[in-house]
Amino acid sequence: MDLFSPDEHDLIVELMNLGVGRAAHALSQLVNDEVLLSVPRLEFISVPEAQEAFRKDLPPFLAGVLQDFEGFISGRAALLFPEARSLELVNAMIGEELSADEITELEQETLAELGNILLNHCLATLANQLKQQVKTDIPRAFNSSVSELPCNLNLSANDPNNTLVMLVQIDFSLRHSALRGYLAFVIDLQSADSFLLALREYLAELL
Amino acid sequence: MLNSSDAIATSLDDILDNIDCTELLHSLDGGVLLLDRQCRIVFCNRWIAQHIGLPEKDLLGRTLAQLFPGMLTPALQSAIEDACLNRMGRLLSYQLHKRLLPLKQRTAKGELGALHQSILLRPLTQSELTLVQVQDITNAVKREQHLRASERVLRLERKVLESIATGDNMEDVLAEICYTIERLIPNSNSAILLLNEDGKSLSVRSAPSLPAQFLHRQRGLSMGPGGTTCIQSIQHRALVVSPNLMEDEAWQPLIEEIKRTNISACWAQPIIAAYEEPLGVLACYPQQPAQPNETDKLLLQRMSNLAAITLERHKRIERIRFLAMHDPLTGLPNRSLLNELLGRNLRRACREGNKFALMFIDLDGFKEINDQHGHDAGDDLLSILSGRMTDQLRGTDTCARIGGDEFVVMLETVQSVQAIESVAQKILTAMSTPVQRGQMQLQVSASIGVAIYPEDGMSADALLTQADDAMYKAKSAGKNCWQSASDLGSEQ
Amino acid sequence: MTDSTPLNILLVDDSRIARLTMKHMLQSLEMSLNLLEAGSADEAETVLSTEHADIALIDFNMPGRDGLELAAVITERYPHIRMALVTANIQDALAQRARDLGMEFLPKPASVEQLGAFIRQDT
Repeated sequence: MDLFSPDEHDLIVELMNLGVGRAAHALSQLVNDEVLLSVPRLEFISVPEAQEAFRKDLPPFLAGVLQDFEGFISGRAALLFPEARSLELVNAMIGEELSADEITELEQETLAELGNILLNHCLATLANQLKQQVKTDIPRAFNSSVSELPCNLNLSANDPNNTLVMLVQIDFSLRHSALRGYLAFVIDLQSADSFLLALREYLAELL
Repeated sequence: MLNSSDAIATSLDDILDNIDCTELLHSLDGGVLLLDRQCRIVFCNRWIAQHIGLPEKDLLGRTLAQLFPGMLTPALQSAIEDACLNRMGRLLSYQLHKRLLPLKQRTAKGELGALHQSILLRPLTQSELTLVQVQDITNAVKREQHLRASERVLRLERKVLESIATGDNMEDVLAEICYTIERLIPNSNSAILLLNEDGKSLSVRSAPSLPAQFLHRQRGLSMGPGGTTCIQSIQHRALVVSPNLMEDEAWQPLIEEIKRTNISACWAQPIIAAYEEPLGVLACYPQQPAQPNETDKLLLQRMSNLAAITLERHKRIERIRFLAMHDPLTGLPNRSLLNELLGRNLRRACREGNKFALMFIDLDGFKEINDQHGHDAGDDLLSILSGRMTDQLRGTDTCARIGGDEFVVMLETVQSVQAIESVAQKILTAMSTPVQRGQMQLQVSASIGVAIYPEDGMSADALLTQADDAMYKAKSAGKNCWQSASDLGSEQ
Repeated sequence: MTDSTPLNILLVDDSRIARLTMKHMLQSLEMSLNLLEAGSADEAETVLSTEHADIALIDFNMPGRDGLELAAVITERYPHIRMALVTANIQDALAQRARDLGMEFLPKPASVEQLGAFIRQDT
């Protein structure tokens, strides 16, 4: 999607990097250990492209955290993992050995907070750096098959022509675990206008 | 005319409109707070007031930081500000924040206990307020702990079975058993004590978290009336609990020791093998006076079963190893073990510049005993003579049976030819002293060939050959005597 | 340091926007600076093979080799270059690894004051 110019794209990546870096800092303080998170790839795709990308790139079963946001951009954000490895991440965070196959209530909650910290930092950094406001709802952990994912992300409820998906691939490395997850921001295109405006204002000061 | 589902919807709306939200919030089994942009409490439900222990009026208008000065973690404080000021929804999970609000609740026994909780901070859409939900997750924590505990036990059981299959180190498995108990019975230390061969005393075999001196001091706890907890558990073949060691008479002699090690109670579970054979004791030492609950008892039982399997297997392996290295009739080392010990002694003598001696001993007249009195008599004679032979030696010397009536004695170090001569003489006397078997007297003698390291050879083979040759010299010199491989000794 | 000899500063960051932001801040310092740019560790090495630099401001998280890997190379080949790791990942463990390489550690986005202090060697 050519909605954003290369500079605008670059700016978003940079702001995502900032947000993720701060989230890594916040997480490392919670777990008293180094947490490395990297953002190697970011792409903007349409709803049909997103559905195609999910089917292709993601494992059949996913665990994740959802969080709604509203402000200069509005929509729903998600952190997605292969289902089994989400547990690995939680266990690495709390320093426990791998537990049962099933994720427990407490682990579900820990995963939700992990997503909460990441998504909040990304959204807050976007908003703060662009001198805008965003409000987030509380996080919800979920498990789903890849075919149910569009429903979880609210993709189908929105008008596909009015929705934009920002997909960010993110690599986690903490303690002895290294795994890859995705951040998906499903952005309501009506709010994408104010997003674009904010990006352009920021760039206008630089360029 | 309204259809029925419309009618239900309408009446539902009516009902919902008329529900008193405040009463609903007060009746919830969980905490609800509303905070304004300055993080001040504008509403709290009954649950919150109860668990903080202050009336509602004392809470309103104040922030949580004011209510609990210096007690909120930075993470909680910043999450509250993030939610109230920046409108960021936050979840604080139990596993990542073991301490959130200092709330108390009464346990079933009536004691005040800390409340396990997680907190949700939700900025409201219709107003500037932030909704705080405090969830009591004590039960979820308990379930989780149970799950983790039983998983750990299962994992350990698997590990023990694996180690049985792969031949892992017994010490590791015993230490793992101790660690598991310490993990599942918090604030405790654990040890495994084994029954010594005398069957009357115990020695500590594994105590990975206790100081080394504990291992030392507890060595050789003797059986007897009024024995300590562990001894009693062996005698009773059952769990014995000393809930408070300071007040326990049997522990008074060890009072300084238990103060130093910071243990206050002792729960001793005997480790019993098949056929009710006691092997030792699995001991758990809580750091506070305490009685085990049902879960603890079950854990000790399961762990002692694992220890029993591990110990029995170890015994069996030791037995197999012993049989592979020893002569079954006399219990003496066999040729393989002799080779191993000889190699070891050679390296050591070479390193330290010692002398040592090999004696090749062949019995004279043994074949006749076998022919005249049968193999049973011959076997009995060999057993008795090998016992006599070892009696003439120091603990560090070795006597091996390498053939029918052939023995090799290795004197680990020798200072002089006189010393060798004295041992050889003693062996000659011991061998030629008649053995009483029923009505019969059996008598043989011995021919001994001696080789000395390094004079007579520098390798195991050379030394054995030299000693063998010397033995034949002794045979041809008339038997019942000893000969040295070198000319020096052959004057004998 | 006299104003007549401008300091050569190498900016290494995969984001052009991040480099631009940094340039803006450096310009506001009103010092005599000569800026060099590289979008990756490889590019930085190419630039250094032909140009002289006094100071390098290096992003940590870049595709390919990261900032610390680049810093290790620079320390070895160009020991005179003063370096700072500029990153949003302000964890102590990372800061320590930077300091172990003799680098300054600046949080991203750095403030003009922090940048100025580092460049003027006030730190």
